[in-house]
Amino acid sequence: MPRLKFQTLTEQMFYVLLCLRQEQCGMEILDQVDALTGGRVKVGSGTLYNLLEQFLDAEMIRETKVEGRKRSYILTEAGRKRLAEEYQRISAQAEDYKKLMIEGGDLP
Amino acid sequence: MKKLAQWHFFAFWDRTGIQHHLEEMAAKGWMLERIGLLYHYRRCTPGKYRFCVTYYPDADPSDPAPTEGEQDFQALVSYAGWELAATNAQMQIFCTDREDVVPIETDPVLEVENIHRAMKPRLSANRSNAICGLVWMVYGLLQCLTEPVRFWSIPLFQLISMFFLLEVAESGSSLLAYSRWRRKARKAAEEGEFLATPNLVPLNIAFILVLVAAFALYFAAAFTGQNNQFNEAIWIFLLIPIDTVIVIAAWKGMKRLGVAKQTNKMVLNIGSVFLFVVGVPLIIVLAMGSGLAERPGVRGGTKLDSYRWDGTTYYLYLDELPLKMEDLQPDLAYDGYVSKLDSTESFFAGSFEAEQSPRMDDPDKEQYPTLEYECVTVKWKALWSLLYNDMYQKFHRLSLNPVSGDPVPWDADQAWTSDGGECLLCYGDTIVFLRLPFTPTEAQMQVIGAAFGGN
Repeated sequence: MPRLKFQTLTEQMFYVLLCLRQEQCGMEILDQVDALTGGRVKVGSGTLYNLLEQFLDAEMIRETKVEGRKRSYILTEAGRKRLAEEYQRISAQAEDYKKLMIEGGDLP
Repeated sequence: MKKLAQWHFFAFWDRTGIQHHLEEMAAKGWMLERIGLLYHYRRCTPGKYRFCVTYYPDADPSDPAPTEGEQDFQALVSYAGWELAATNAQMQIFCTDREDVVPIETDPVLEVENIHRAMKPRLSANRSNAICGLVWMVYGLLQCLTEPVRFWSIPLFQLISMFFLLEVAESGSSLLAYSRWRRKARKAAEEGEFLATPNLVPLNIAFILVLVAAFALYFAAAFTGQNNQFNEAIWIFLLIPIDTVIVIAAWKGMKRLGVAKQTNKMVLNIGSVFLFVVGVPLIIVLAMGSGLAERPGVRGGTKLDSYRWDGTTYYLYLDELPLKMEDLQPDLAYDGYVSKLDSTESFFAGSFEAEQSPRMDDPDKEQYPTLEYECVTVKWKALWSLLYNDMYQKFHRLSLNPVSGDPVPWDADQAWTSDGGECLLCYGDTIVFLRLPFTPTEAQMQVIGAAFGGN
């Protein structure tokens, strides 16, 4: 099944949006994702560029300033909402895991 | 040697092949410097370099300089530890000697989408080429079916058909290979995998070799046998590369001068249309007007002089004919005949049309009959039925009461005759359609047999 655009965020999408809770440029995002995940999640620079373009098109982020070759962005309301939804989805998954695998519960 | 330039046969989207090749070249001490018509390399310290071929779909080769967006993209990639080696339209090639640098593309789904966006202009061009080639192929096929003698004896027609056949095959196979790879790559991407691009280099080299062979055969045929002369095809083959060089030079010049891409493209399109659509036919008309070629691919008779009669210019020819009125009527005392021979020959078949007629301005011309005939030599035996049927149909169309005749008096293998003096004769690999101005005697039949290699 091809993945529907932004219906489920990939890890890379999730962390890029997360970084944009505050104003960041692309270069800062690359560093932040790496730092935030301890190097577990790698975002390629080409992938990041394309993601930023797509988030802009989907109005999930907006451009805030341009300084030389640095363009900065920040989440929009739509972006925050989408990120929150993703958090809910991941949390629900984690909750279900905890219930069944850690606490030894049964299926309802 | 500090510089090296190589021609490469990689498909534009063959990022795997290009990357591997550039890594091999760098290991040998050749670093990619720029890409034009060729790949240009400079000397570097041999070593382990990583290359990444990626695409910036909004890049336009007609832009005088990289756009802001393209420069932003390159800056971001450079920040991540990659160095820009070269660009070629939407293709961006980066390299690094560091092991720890994160790959430029880390999301295979996005990468496949990105490559497809970059490929769109090329796919449109491929489709247009395939359609254009298909139209010409159908035209060639129709000509082959409706006028097989003309088609198989004129090397230019075979070359044009081969050229468009290759164009269809090349464009079609490129489109097919790309769409097949894309389908598989999208599937693999959903599983988080990057799919290697297929190696189309051997196929591309094969197309080039076949094309070169087709041109070599054409030139060999055009300058040997009955075609040994400078004809209009040479003009076309000279003109097309010259036109191409002019168009590319103008395009590059405008880029250097900083002309906006829309203006550059507009000038380029108008210039190309003028040079290829107007220029090439104009040269053909000039070549025909100057007598270099009367009919495409056909060697016309040798013009000796001209004269005017009844407001029209007529040319004088005294070409050598295999059969003349004097051979059929030895007592004919007339030296005012004009003898014209139009011939053409390929590796598959040869044909000529001969005409011996009195000068139009001769007041006694009615006394001297005209002799006309067409002769086809079939070199490739598989074409015999096709070419024989063509000649047979022509004979039937132009003859009065055609009937099967006795071949023996003609020394022929087969003979068809008619009440109007037309006859169709077969001698070995040769088919002759004669339009005699009289019903021949047995002696004249033997003369004809001797002229065309009778049994």
